[in-house]
Amino acid sequence: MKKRDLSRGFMFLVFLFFCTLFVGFPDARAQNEVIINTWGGAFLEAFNAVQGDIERVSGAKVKITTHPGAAAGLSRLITQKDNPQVDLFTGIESTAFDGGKAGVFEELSPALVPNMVHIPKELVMPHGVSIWVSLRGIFYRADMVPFQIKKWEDLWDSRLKGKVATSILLDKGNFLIMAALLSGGSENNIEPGFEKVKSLKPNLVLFYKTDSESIKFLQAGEAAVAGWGILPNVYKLIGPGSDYKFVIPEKPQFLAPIPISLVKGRPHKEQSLKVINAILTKDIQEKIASHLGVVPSLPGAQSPEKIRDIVPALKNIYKVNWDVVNANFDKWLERWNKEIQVK
Amino acid sequence: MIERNKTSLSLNLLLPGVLCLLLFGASLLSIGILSLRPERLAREGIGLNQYLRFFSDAHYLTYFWRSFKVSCYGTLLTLFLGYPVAYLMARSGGRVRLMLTLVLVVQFFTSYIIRAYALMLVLGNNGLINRMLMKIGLIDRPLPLMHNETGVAIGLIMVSLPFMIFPIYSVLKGIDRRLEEAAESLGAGEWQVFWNVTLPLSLPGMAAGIILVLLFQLTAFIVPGLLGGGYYDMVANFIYDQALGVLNIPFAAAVAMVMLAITLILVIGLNKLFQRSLKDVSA
Repeated sequence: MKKRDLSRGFMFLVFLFFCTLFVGFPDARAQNEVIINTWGGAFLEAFNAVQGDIERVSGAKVKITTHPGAAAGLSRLITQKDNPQVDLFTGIESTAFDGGKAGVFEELSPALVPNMVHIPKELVMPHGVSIWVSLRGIFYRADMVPFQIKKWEDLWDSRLKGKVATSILLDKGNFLIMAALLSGGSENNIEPGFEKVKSLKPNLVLFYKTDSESIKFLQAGEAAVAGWGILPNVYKLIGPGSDYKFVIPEKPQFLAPIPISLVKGRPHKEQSLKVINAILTKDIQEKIASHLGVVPSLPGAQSPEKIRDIVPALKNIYKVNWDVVNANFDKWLERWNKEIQVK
Repeated sequence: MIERNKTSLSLNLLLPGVLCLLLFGASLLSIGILSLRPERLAREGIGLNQYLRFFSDAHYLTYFWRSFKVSCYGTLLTLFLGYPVAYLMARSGGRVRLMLTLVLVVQFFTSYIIRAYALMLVLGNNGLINRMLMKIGLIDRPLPLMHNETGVAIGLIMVSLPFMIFPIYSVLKGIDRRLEEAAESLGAGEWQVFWNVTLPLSLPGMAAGIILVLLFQLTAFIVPGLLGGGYYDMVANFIYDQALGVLNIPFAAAVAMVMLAITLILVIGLNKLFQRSLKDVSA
């Protein structure tokens, strides 16, 4: 073979490689798979654990992929709107609302997903149905806190000076809404919330953007309390004998329904709907719940024993008005950065 | 015939680079278009709303000010700390050089996040330094080494040191030692040789290091996120909040474009400055 031919052949291979970067290799198997996009870590493990069951019940092949976070995942879906890469997306309530508004999610109803008929109306959104309910509360290190935290107001206790971490980004401002509710306000009247959080400043030591960041800060001893905690992420850290504690204060109580949404413009609509229906069956609901320490959305499915006693009744949960939050969150964030996140 | 083959080979070799540039250009173009979208979730319409919003509130400039301030003095400090290490590497024997190279390279085996997290364990209120100082009774409360500008600066300098050391080392290694010996034989002392011969000749390495480190520190995200504790967010953190927290991708894209423009001006300016200095050195 001539040197020139060799060089041309090599260049052709390089060219082909770069072409694949632009168009992507068509994965023959992926054409017939329903792709579920969810968080990594404990969430991915939970989905992997029930993948076989979902495939058996739905009759569809399933592939699990991860996103770095609900908002980041939705952001990717919005930019890929004309050529989405996943069929089903799990996020939080606000992303289901935002995704619906951005036109990336299909509407869901019991006519399309029969098992949705059993799901309480509080857990059904126009563009998503909750597949589990995640507990929100205070996550703290008992070895660094001189008393037992029981209520939200404890975060303001002077003994926690310089020990509390919190976040406005996590659950899109729910910490701020909680503070507003404590002072007679709400998402419709957020001013008391800002005043309340301002009075927390002596106790604040740092701010986190993601729940995994909050865990890192607590593990490193940089903060003793994560003022807004997400149970599934720390579920395996808590338990008898552990210094890590998770408290769900009584008033106001927050739960985060975790919706699954059907992405528009994908070829597997029928199969995807069957997958959602399968996830809403009792056996799969209980398996996911036991992996993550969450409450199944399907009434009658059991929560794991470890959390059974602390699960609040659905009627006591504060229902956030996401339309109000989504309309105002950028203003809240800007104000938070100017007034709260400064020394 | 041979000339034609050479040209054809050169063109073929250029192809991957051109494709990469096209890919880069396309993504930049799409960010530019996104920045012109008038509203948060809009996929149509063109306007300058996002840019007007950015320039109408001085608060947004705080993030730029922080980024430029910390990366400017951070780059200088990285240069002061990195140059002696590069010099030692270039002038020491094989074993010391190998050891220093290993120490610097080994940190690339771990992820950037892990390195920033490790720094948190050293600098934090509950970190190694504070615990040690408190144990020996030098301080009675932790030094504020984190959750502020100091922490971010220390983190950025530590993480970007190799990017300064390696370019300077590669240039220092290539300097003809006979030039230094000639200066010495003409009566120049050790410091004079360094100041008048070695330092000017190592300018290309310093220029490369300064530009690399400056860009690295300007666009930092993880270090200010973890070591700033939310009290010292830089431009990249602000862009993250807008893009992924508020889902205001057009505004995030506009801020990114402004940052890109300012950075480009800065890099072109530095490049010209270094080129002039290099001309002076060669003259």
